[in-house]
Amino acid sequence: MNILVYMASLLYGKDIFFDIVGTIVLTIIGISTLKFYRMNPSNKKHLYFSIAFFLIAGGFLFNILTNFTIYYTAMEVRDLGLFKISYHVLKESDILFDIGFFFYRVLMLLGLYVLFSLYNKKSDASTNILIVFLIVVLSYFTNSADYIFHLAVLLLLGFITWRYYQNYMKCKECTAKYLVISFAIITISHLLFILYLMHPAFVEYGEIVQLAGYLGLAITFISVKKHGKKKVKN
Amino acid sequence: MVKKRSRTDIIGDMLEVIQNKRGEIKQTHLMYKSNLSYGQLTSYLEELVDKHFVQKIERESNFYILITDRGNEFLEKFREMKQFEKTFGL
Repeated sequence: MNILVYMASLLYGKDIFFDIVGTIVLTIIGISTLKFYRMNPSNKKHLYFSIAFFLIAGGFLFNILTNFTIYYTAMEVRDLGLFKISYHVLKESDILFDIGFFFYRVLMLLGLYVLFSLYNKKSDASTNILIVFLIVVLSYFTNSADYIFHLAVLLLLGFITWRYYQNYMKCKECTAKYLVISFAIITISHLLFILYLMHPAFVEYGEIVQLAGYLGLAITFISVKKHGKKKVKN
Repeated sequence: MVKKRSRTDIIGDMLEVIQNKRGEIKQTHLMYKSNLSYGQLTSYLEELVDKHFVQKIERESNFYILITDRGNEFLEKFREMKQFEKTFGL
């Protein structure tokens, strides 16, 4: 909770805009992948990929709603000024905050795990059930220890970025290179969120770096779309 | 090991071959260029005509296959999908 309260005073709602950009990029990619799945239903990977992106986008949506609650509450307290009433409003916000942030964490971690599983063929059904359970437990108990959540995201993103780097080394496509760079930037943003423990300003840097990462992902996707217009000689 | 082509892959390859021949190709040439048997070609062509991706016309006792606007649109989406798969390693 501390991390977001600090952000409220530092970014004054800009982080909501940053998260909206991320949600839009993730949703557009998710919708396009779902269309690819409809075009070629034999490739189930498209379906799982779109589910992963929708889950992460859903997580961002909860984060946006949670942030709105914080800003709204802050305004209410200033306007009323009566101790009893302002206390009540804050208490209500705490519950909304906890629920919203819990769903943000669960959906974000689940989405990243689905994405990670796509490149890791060794996982079976029992492992997946266990991981989902651990994700829910981790999301529930990290309310007061934000850095543990960001550490889990950092690990998952790190593994996924490594897979994308291996893929780039294999295919040498420039769109694959953009993808590696975008995911590496998003991974770094979570490292900055963890460094909040050293200095609160790292949250602000993390938000800006994360925005750059999602914009990079948007550029990657636009490049893929442009490729559709190029003719392939055979 | 070479990966087996899916139905969508074969349709995409056929449309790619037709487009590269300026949107018009002899049926027999399409068969060779798409690596299909006569039976397979007939089945796929039926599907492509049904979906209005191609037109089949007879000229000077030869069958010609013409790609339609709808076929070109599908091919564009197909290329996008292939590039997406390459980029994300799917």
